[in-house]
Amino acid sequence: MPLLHVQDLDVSVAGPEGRIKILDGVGFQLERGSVVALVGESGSGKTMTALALIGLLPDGAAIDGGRVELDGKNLLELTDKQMCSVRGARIGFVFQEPSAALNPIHTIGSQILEAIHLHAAVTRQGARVLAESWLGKVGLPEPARVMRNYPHELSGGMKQRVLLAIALVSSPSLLLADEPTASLDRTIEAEVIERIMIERDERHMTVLLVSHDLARVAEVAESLIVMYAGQIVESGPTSLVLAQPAHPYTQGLLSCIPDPASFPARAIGGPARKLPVLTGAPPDFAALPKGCRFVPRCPIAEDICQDPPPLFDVGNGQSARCFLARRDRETTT
Amino acid sequence: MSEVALLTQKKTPLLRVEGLAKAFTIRRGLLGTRKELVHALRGVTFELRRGETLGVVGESGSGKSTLGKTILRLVEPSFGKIFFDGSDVTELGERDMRKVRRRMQIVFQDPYSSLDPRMVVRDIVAEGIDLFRLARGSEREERVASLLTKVGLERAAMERYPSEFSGGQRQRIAIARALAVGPELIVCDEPTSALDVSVQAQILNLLGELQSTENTAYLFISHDLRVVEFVSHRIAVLYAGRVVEIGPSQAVAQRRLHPYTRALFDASPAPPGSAKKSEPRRLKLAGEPPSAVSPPSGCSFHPRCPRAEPGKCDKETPELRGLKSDTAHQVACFFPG
Repeated sequence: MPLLHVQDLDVSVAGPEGRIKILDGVGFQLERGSVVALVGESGSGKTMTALALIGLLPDGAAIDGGRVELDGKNLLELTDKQMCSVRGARIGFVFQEPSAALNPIHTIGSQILEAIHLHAAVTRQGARVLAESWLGKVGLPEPARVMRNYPHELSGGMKQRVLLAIALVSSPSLLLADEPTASLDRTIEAEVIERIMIERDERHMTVLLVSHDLARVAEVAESLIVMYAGQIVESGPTSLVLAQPAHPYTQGLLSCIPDPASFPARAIGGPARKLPVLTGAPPDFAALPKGCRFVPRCPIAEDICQDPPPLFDVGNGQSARCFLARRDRETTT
Repeated sequence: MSEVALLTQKKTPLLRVEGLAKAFTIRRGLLGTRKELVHALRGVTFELRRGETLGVVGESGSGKSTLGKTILRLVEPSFGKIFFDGSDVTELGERDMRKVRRRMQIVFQDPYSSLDPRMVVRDIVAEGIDLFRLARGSEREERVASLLTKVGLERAAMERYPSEFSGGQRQRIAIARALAVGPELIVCDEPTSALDVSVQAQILNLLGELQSTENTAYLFISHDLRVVEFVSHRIAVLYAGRVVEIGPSQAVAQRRLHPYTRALFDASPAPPGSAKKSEPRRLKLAGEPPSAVSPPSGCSFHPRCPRAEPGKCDKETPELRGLKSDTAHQVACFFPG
């Protein structure tokens, strides 16, 4: 049994003319100890998916259908109180905005100690030792001093690492990390990712990384799930998705990541380097295309694409929501 | 123009920054009575030629944003000189400075806060045109329309407010505004950091095209090394307010002579699909970026540096020196390589 099994998740938000569906039939599985990245651009639904998994959707958003099974138990049927104990204890999470997630009027120490006491029976002294050791593990210098600090006394990067420590302190089975390194410098970012991977290796923690930074997550994730306009459009083993992206959106996304090595040296006054681009913008959820949602931006769309494509199995563990990808793979195999 | 004049004109860099330093006073303590000096820039020297892109990289607190603002004198330098087209702008009075401002512009990271939400796009783009009285009436209208076309927006965008546009479109508006006065230098301060990668590609292409047609020079500031390597002719690496390495992009990216440059490159994700970097060589940094209030003695990087030698690196400050084999590539390190 996978640790997490998400099936047909539908989420909608209140719009001026009735409800607007922003997640459409999202489904995936996370095997124990795996590292999976959920990638997509702003508005693709990746963060909404993450929030729906832990029952923290913003006001106005609601789950209309589907299942979120953790160890076979559907989390969507839990009461708020039960869900609260799942969060933190079984699912640790880190979100992008570190300032909003910490309480400004309490010290870092009291916030991490609270997290420890909430989920484990330890003595006060034991909790303190645990807290300091975790702050050290996420790379914060002088943990004892950080314990006495208030959030405003720390930099954004330090706050983000405090949140990671809080997420990991209860040894969760699943870590949900939404852009956990967006506010960090590259050198610190590498350190934070490494800490998460150590946790995975040492105690088989499962990791779902949510990010717009395909290049960064591709280095650590074993598989990728690509979202576009509220749907999963491609998934599969990282190496395959990168080497042979099946969906035209994934292909476009990969081609616009700058790779300086693939260009000749630049001379002043010489021609500018040109990246392949995805023209246009993602569709408005209130006016989605009837068929494939990528059609308006797709360089290879055909008549058949006016119908909504399902997520096809295109072989080697790869899936793509594209009629043409399926046809191509069929003819080549 | 005589041949000699033409030659000297070509030799004068568009921008030459000499020993630029900036220290801020900040108030610390409960009542804000304790004053401390923050050294954001410490002796920065470099040149930028017409039509050239100099990428500036460094972690937060390295001084890279202060550098851009100081060159435009949006922030007054504490020491040092800034020569723009041969004349020292640090000595210019308000009136003369205004003339120079027309020739240098800035594009900021956040297209949400850098555009006035109460103004329509026409007036935003025409800000510089109005300020310098470059055009009025229908001529102004036509200029704005052609600027919008240049940055890939429709003429109809003129009537609309910034809130009606996406992040990428707003950045296009900000670029159109900068272009309106025909600048020779644009400081691009993290211009794509708030954008999705597909939108980033569009903006990078746009900046590239504009450079080809207008011969604009860019000071391109970013924390994203791959983007900087992609767009720049040369790269300057800033650490604790100092340039620790500068040179042609490829040379800096391949040689990574300063241990900090190496750590930065090693920590940056390789573009997917490219050959994976050899992991064992990965250089990791210990500790936090240094405090700008009390920068470390000697080489500022020594507390985090795996190559630092006690008695040398913590005592003496290494100067920026060109390589024997390639004088355009300079590094400030006692043990480069």
